[in-house]
Amino acid sequence: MPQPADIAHLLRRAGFGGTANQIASLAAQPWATTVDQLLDFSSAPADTAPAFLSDAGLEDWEKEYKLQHWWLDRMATTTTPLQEKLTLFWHGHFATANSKVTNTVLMYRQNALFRAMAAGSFRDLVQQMSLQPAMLIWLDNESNTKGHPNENFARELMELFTLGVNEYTQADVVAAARAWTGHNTLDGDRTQYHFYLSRHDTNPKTFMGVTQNWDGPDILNFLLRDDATHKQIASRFIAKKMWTFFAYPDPETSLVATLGDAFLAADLSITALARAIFVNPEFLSTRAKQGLVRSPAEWLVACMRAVGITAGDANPQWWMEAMGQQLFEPPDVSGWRSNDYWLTTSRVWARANWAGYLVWQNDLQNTLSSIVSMTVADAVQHAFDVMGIDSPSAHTRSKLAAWLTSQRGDTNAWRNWTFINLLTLVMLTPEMNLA
Amino acid sequence: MTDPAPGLFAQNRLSRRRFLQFSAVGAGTVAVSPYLSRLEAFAAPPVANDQGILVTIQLSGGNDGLNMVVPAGDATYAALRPTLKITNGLPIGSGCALHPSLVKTKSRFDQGNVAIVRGVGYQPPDLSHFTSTDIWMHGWGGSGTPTTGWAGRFLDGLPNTTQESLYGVSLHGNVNPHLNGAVAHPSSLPLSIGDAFGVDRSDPSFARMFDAVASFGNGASGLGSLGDTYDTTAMELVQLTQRVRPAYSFPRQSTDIRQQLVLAAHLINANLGIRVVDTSLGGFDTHSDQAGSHAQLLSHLDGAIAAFFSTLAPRWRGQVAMMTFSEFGRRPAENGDGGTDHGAASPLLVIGDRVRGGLHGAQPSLTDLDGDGDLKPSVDFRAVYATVLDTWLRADDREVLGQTYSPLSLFSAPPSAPPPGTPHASSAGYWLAGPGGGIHGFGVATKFGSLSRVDKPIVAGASTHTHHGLWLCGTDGGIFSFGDARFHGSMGGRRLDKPIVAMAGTPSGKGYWLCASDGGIFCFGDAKYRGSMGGRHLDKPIVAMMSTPSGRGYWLCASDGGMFCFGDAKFRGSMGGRRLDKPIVAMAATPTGKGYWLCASDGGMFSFGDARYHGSKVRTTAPVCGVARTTTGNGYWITARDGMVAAFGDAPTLGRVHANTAILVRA
Repeated sequence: MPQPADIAHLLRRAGFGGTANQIASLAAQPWATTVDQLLDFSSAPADTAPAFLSDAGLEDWEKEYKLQHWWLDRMATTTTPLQEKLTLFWHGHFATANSKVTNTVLMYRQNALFRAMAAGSFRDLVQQMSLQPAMLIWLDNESNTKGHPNENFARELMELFTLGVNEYTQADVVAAARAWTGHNTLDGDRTQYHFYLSRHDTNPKTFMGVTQNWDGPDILNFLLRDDATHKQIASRFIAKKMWTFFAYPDPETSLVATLGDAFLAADLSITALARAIFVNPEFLSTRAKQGLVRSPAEWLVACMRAVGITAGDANPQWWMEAMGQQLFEPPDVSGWRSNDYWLTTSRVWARANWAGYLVWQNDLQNTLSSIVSMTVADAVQHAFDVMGIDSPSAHTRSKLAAWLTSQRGDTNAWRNWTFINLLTLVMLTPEMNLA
Repeated sequence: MTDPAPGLFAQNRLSRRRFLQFSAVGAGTVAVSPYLSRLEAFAAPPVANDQGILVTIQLSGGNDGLNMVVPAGDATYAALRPTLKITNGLPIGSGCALHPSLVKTKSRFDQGNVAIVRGVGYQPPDLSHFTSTDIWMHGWGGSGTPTTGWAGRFLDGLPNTTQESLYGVSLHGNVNPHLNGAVAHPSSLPLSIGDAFGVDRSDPSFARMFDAVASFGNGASGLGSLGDTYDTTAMELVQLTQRVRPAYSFPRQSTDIRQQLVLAAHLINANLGIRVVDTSLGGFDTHSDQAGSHAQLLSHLDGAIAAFFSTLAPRWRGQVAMMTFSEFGRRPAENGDGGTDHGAASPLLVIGDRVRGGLHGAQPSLTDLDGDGDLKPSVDFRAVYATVLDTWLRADDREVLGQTYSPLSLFSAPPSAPPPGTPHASSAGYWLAGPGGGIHGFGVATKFGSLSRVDKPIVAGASTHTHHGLWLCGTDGGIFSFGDARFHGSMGGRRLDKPIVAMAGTPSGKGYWLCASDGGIFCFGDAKYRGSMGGRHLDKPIVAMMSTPSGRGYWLCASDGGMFCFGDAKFRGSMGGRRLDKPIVAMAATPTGKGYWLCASDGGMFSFGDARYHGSKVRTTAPVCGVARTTTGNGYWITARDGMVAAFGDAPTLGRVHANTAILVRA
């Protein structure tokens, strides 16, 4: 049977952390059973468009932060956390920003597609994502027309979404751009996709050495279905990226090949790839366990879950940009990086600022009030338990204990500072900030 | 004076050991345990008078250089850009024009402080944002691919670089690859600090909590290298808070890039040892509807650069150079969307007082494009780096870049502080305020926005003498406070027999007196009441007021030159009984408090006690309305209603306005 520490690691990576009870019960069943349960999204809460999106009294920026709240709350409360993690992964992969799309309804539709396709095929996901107005607007394909090709989408589709850099030539970009002409938004209504045959370039184009009348979706079917070479390149490209999201960056080539082959064998089934990642022994290596920093969204959700607060009360939107991750506003089409990217002084600072703010919301300052009657060691352990930190390092434990001893020694200090500041401190421990 | 060749400065270059770190295929990178080397506190030495500081501005997304520095005289340009061509550019000679958004940069160019390097790129061009950005940031011409960036490799060579996180700072959240060294570890600073974590240590419980977070960085985390990095970052942010917070006392700027660059100037002014500041402006990936968005981006850039230089203390102007860069330019032929696709060679700007202004590098041909239809570079971007490294940063450019590049002649002189004897330019500044609430800062005076409306005219002002704080007062006694000047109360809503005509700040910057035309005194903050003319007969109204250096007294001055002294303010003479052509309108006291000047509306200056006369001829017909002395007392400025400012003695000429002006307040 699996080790509880391994289960805790799995629940942090495939979700936003687990409780002591969850960890204990899952440690009593085979690892593969737990992975399959995590991949079963049938109990997911309904995904209907939140009502505020159609509230004519709200500006789009208001809808955007409400949408951020809505998603953070969903992540914090869902019964299918892995589905939300995959949605977050695809949001970073097909990184689309509302700063350009300027329509939260379209951003929500894209988000809902990522969620619905979390258990689907990567090929179907890319095909559908490509024709959604959010992407058509984001990478300018809405105005990519015959005689006036716009290379933006065609390039990133290959460089960032499917193949990786250096797997195509500039001539392939030009040909693909022509193939995607006419796949635009509807004139007069940018919220609808429309194919304009009259704006589509029907002339022969030479893409990857094949000359024919390419259409945009043909390009994707070629890369992800018909051409074995490119399908393999794509499977490894996505496998590497997903491993980087769930385990650690820069995996060995052999590991990427193993994962990619499982993905390929399942005809690019997303759950097959996720399963291959979680059942690979390397997932439980020290390198994997110490291999990721929580992104701001992951850290916020972990904190919100632990103390039981909603985003509406926690107001993370005021700090997320400084933390480096505003949902629905990735910095550019390549999305967010990982690890050191989150650990600049200003970004950790923003986490500290939010933690300092959070403890005052909705009487959260009493979260750890029971420590006043505990020994220092018990109080520190209690704080770890409340935050879901299952295996703190001796180093962190000793720092918190030293602080608490010193704080208690200050007889002039207001007694409540001990448990209020302990809550801030435990949110800022490395254990809480690593994934 | 003949311009020295770039190589002339080479003998001053530092010789250093370099730590280069490469990622060979399949090999792991060397792990550096940062916490080990940072246990003892180290703060960088102040920047020496002959050291250069570099400010980089990334124009992220691929800036359309062809529309920034426009080959306006080239007929092919218009043909390639049927809808996007710039026809109202600002001519800079050689058939070139700057984008019309770059108005302020154009005047800086005219002053000879902007080098425009044309045709910058590399061969063969890479059209991926991310690959090309990496190429620019790695800045490496040797073999292999380094994990470090060119500016980071410069930082690697600075003394005690493993312990100093302020040698290189980023102001946009990311620490991008170009700042990364093998052992240097630049920091990222927030754009505003406010009551951020770590700032307010007044309560011991909070100081203890901040120190507990800092203590995470003391010893190994036990959680691997990411845990160690997190812990040291947490430690650093707590330590940095106290070092950098003085640089943050300025008002919020109108754009993000302006906030970054104004903060950059304040950080440099604070002399924390910073050598490289990285800033970034995104949004240049203009595949569609480029005209409006590009114009706005360049306008934001233009305003931010101007704000940087007006914030930068004059003392630093000879030691700061600014350089823009972008991963590539855009395709000369516009696409069908009113936009442009990814291109290749593009111009960049190097700006500063020691820069050799003008056009550098050959303009790439618009008729001899590469196979993708892009401009062929005439200057390798690493040649620009080599010049900056060699001339400006005094580093071994070959060592940093892994290759020798022919330097350009981008600098007219090496970095140097202003020569001694330059009159107080580093600490001088003032605000001019108009009756309607217009405010203009000059020299070191922080730029505040003007008041949108005032109920009564502004008549008086005082400063906190930090360069960052200003109070203005209306005739109704309403107080407007700016920067670090705190509001301590006003006469707002209280009935006044006579209007307020003057005010004075206390030496602590924590209080002020208001004075009405009948000599009535109102005290706020730590300003103490020392007496007034209330209830006593005045022949002429009070027009001016000054505090003594101790703050334990003040002088009031009437329009006939009569002086009234209170507290420890001593009488040193007056115009009482002497005939005046024009009324006295303003006064200033010497730094010792043993003298003062009275100033008449025609510019006549009358000095008493240890106040020396430095001249008073003003070239305006408008009435004089204000006077302020320099910090030494060896000079003064006089201002008139039309915004004219005349400088006398050691007062530097800092500028004027062309607007209705009421007062001049020394910063």
